[in-house]
Amino acid sequence: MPGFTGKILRVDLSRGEVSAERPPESFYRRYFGGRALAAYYLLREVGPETGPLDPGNLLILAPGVLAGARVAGGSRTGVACLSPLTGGFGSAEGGGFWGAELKRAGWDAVVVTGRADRPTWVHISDDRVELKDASGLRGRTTAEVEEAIKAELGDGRVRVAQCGPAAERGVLYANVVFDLIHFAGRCGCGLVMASKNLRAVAVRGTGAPEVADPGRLRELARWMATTGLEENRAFHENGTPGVVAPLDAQGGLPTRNFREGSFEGADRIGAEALNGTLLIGTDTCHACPIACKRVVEAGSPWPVDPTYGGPEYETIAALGSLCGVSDLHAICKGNELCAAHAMDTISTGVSVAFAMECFEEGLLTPEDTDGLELRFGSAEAMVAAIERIARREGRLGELLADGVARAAEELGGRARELAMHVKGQEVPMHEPRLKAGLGLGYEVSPTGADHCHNIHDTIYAKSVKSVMPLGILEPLPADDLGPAKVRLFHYKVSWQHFLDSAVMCYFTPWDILQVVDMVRAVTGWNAGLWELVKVGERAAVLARLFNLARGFDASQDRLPERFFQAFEGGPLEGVAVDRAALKEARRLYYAMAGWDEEGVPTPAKLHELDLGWAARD
Amino acid sequence: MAKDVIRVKALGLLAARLPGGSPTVVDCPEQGRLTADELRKTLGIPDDEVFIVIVNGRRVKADYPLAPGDEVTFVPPVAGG
Ligand code: SF4
Repeated sequence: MPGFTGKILRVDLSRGEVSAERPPESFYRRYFGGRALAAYYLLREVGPETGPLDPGNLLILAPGVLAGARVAGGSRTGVACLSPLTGGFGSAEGGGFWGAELKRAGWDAVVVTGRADRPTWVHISDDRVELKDASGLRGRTTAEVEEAIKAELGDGRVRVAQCGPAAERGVLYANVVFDLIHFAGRCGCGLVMASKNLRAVAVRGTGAPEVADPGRLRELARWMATTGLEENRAFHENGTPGVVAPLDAQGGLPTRNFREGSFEGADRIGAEALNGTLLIGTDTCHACPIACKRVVEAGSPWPVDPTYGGPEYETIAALGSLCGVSDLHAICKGNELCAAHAMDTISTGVSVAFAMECFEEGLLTPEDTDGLELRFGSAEAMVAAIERIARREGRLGELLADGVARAAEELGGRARELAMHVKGQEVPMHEPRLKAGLGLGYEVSPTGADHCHNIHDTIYAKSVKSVMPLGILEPLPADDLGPAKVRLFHYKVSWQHFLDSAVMCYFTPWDILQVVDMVRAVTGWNAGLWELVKVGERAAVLARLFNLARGFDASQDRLPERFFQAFEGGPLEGVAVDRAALKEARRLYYAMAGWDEEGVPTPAKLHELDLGWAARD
Repeated sequence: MAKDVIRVKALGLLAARLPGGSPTVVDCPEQGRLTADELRKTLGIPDDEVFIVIVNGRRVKADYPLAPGDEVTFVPPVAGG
């Protein structure tokens, strides 16, 4: 079957057994890979009685239809589970080479259940799958583990997915990393991996994924290597840190725990500051000529190891402006620590910024922090707090390693107002007071506050060329939340859910129709845009059902209060999220999506999405 | 800063649109002053790639009349991640 190997690897760590599942082609056409495939397994196999750290939870590693094909951006891997951070649907994606390697080894996905009775890693070498002893790897950094696995196999080219020491110590937002520098960052998937006593999954494949129309695929790859790259040179040169300056100018650079939207130190932490100082190179993912990944190196006072790549925009803002820190060297150190321990930089930064505000407000005292002066702007405090979180060290480490929602509950009172999260997921580095539709996305996402399966309204304020194939024909103001914006949101977010099911990079400059073209070329299916958007919508609805079954309801579709308060200065002075408009937009979105007033997908909607099996009666 | 020129910055991916890169300076004769939008056109920056224009630290409308010595920043829309 072109596009898929037709085999899903099941690993039962409790029994120490592995097996192959061979779903029919119709399964792949409905559930593709990545998020949609994972949502299918989670909804069917993880019931509401199962806790996130129970052996019955699943850890799913699923690349997509394009993985292994020689086109840029198609070889990311989706990681999914019942999230320990949100208590609901957990899903995150990471780039690199692991997904392509898994496909070459002859597998479309790995579904892990159970819990091993001793530390374990899994070695996949084509058809051969072995459970190996990982006792010697416990507590070691991700780089040490990757090196040890490569040494044991005598194979420097094996690709390694792993959780890190932060997961082994129970950090709730521990993540899963591929090839040391590509993170499936969000939702705490790393902690679920560690709870299974599983440290790593190493893959080596010698096959070549079957492609229906290699000629067409080559044409597309040639376009990317010429026009695509030419038009995006600046993205290669600056990477995602290039957005620091524009967001700051717009008032949308989260600063001091979202109290402000622009940062006086912005020009010291953006791409312009990084290039020519700490930046020593770039890195890339499978078959991608854009190579947007940063590689940094630094010496004293905080040695930064280039093995761990370099910071993305999210990290720079979360550890930088959000903490009031303008010391790029310290930010790079924080990034390296998060990478070595494998924990999400967004949740880490939001947790540290929360603690800084609590400290300044007297809600955390020097006794709580073992004397650490946790003030906005202190680079030393930011780095020290990360070290404590990674080790769950002292009261501060224990408190922040559980994320801001739980920390705020423990501190009580006003701390709750300072905890920036939705459904327990820390808010990423994008401002709903600048981008109104993004706020709706934060509210209704199945994984809590998420900026990826979301819209960035400013993009559509002048031009909607990129979404015209979805039938969006007129630009809409960034602060608009009217029916036309909700329609744009519904269509575009469904498309994003498809991209996370094909597990494609959002940064590669493919347009929507080129992606459809790629899927057709790889699979040979007569697929169209409409069918693919429906796959995305199916993924979102399955994830919603998973959450509803676990007791979530519409009351959790809520932004933190701070976003309803106006900025007191900066480019967006006086601007707040319009509570009434957002409420109306949410109501309208439910209705457009075929969900009832309580946010529950109607039986008719389930049937429309070919999900009759998931209807309750 | 010479008073008869305008200093122009273009942020993010827009920097590549400025001839000679960002920042740059353009002449601003006392006679025949440009608006912010006319400057954008003169520089060949497509309208749909500009989210906002900032002059001397303040966001301005497209018809804002520029004066010698002004600092103009073109800001693109960005998603980021
Ligand atoms: S654009 Fe960047 S993140 Fe996306 S595939 Fe290429 S190198 Fe990876």
